[in-house]
Amino acid sequence: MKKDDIRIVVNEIFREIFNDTSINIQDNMTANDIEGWDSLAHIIMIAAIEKKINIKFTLKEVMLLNNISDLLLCVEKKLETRH
Amino acid sequence: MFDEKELNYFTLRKQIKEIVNNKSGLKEIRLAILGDNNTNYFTEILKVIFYKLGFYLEVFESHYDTISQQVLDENSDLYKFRPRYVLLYTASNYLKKKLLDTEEKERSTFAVKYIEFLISIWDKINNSLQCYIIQNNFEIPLERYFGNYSLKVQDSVSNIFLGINRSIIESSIKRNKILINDIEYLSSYHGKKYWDDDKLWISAKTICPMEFLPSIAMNIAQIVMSCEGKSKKCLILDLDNTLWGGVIGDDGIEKIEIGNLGIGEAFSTFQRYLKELKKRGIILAICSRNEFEIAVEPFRKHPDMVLREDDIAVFVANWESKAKNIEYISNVLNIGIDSIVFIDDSVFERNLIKHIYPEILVPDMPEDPAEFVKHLNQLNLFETISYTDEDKKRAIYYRDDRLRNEEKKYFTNIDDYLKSLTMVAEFKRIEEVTLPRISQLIQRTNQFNLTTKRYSEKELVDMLYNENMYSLYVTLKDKFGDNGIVAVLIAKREKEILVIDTWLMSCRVFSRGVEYFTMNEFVKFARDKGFRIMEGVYIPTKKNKIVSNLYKGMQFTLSESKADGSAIWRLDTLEFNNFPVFINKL
Repeated sequence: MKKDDIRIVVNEIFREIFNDTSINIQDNMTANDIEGWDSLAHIIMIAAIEKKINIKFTLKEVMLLNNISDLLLCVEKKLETRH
Repeated sequence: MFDEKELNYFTLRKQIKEIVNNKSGLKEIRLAILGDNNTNYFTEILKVIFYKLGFYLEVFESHYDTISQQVLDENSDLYKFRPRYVLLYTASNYLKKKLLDTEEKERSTFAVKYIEFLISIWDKINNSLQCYIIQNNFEIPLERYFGNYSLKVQDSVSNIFLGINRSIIESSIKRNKILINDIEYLSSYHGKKYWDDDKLWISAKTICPMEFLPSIAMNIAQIVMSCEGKSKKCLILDLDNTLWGGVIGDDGIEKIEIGNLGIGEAFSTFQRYLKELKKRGIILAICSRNEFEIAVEPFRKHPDMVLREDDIAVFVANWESKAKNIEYISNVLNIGIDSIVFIDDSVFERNLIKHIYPEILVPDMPEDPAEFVKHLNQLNLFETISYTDEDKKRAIYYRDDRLRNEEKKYFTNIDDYLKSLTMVAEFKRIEEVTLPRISQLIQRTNQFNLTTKRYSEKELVDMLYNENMYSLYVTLKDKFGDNGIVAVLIAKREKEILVIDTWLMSCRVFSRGVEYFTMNEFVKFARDKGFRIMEGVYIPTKKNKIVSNLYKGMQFTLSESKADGSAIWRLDTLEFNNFPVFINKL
């Protein structure tokens, strides 16, 4: 999966989980920029990404990944090491 | 009831929005969730599942880990909410931590103390609320500190959990308001390897990954549906390629696949599964496009058939449409269309039945008969909240019924037929030993039920000790067998008047004069107690139209009729003339 594809997939998941079809994730976005991104939704979003892309975040990542650029970078790295 | 494919967490979650807009008109169910973990994720899904089943779930959720506070404080929000169901939603991980933090010397009493705690919680809730309590057991932790030997070590973690699970069951058997949510089963079913997730427990305090929450929610919904009297009672089965491989009309009895022939063992396995359901009281009926004599032959003659003609309550094989035959079966058995499950290997027939009778449950069937059992089992079609002697005997009742119907053909006059049955009935005050069956009838009877009040066993016990209430029941026997308790009548004194609060009768004994016998006896009972005026109430439901004018036929006169269709009828017991019946009083 290419970098851009990852962004598209994650964006799609954000739209679904936060129930807003107008969401366009940007690198500088954090939990404060997206309505509904609370701790509850965070876990669901993480679970959705894990399921969709078939990766596993570590506990530390789950707890710290609350901005878009870190999240995308983390997914990217995981996919790289998988190949 | 839903297929696993339909129970996708993320898909279900998207439907939450719909509920708010569409909840009006749905029956409301009040349920309180008390958890020692984060129940938010679960509650959302539970609401969606109930919505899909046609109910609106009004939920009270306690704050994280406040079970004791909510239960012990009589002024807590829990009691103000007045739930019909309390779901105790406790996590294996939470209990495990508690156990591991317990000193070794205290471990031998850990299980006993925990059970005492649970029982105190149950009893405290039930002291204040007439509600069902749904209690989960615990997933046995995966960690085996002694390997396989763990099971031989008395106070090993595995054994303490096993002990707690066993005690929960034993204590719940003595209390009929405690229902079991078998989490240990669900976790094993889905695989504990996947179920057990420390990452999620630590970061979100959920008892298992999101993907399994719908399965737990469905489990809870099925328990609640069963309490609400929405149980399935009857399986209507196709024959060719459902109960055996091949087509009996073409292949003949020697070539159909059953037993050792071809893939026959898969069908034998399926038949064994069905026979076990029959033994526990599920009614089996056959609905097949076939000549009757050809279709019934394997049941009579094939040595490898597990199901025999006697196992089948109604056997319909003809060239009519299945829809029409299903209607016939539901009439003969006197059961509601919505209590039927229809099993057929043909997609065409299944879709047709789904289309004509949306109330019938029509599971998709796997292509491979070797998967039939696993697939149907997974749907958990026949959840129940009780299992009585009556259930065990149900299959026999229906067989007896068939014999009665066959006998009927020889009589042209219905009175002659009823006389020939030599029916004997009892009319008695309810005692505590009969309460499980009485309560079951109260939960399940929909048709001959004048007021459809679903009293709990606890409420019934209270009535027994209330001197202004008279709770009575009727049993019926005839030459074909014992029907057990078939009718319940509960009346209360309101000043000078005796008001019939509840009157219901099992559909198995329709058209035999039991209702007239009951009224004869009840009027006598009322006179003996010094009542002159008696009042009967009718409250209409979707299903009890059959008794809308019952009181008229019972010599009552209409005293009041309301806009909602309900009515109050009156009878002067001194003017009452006994009905002729062919039932002798025991």
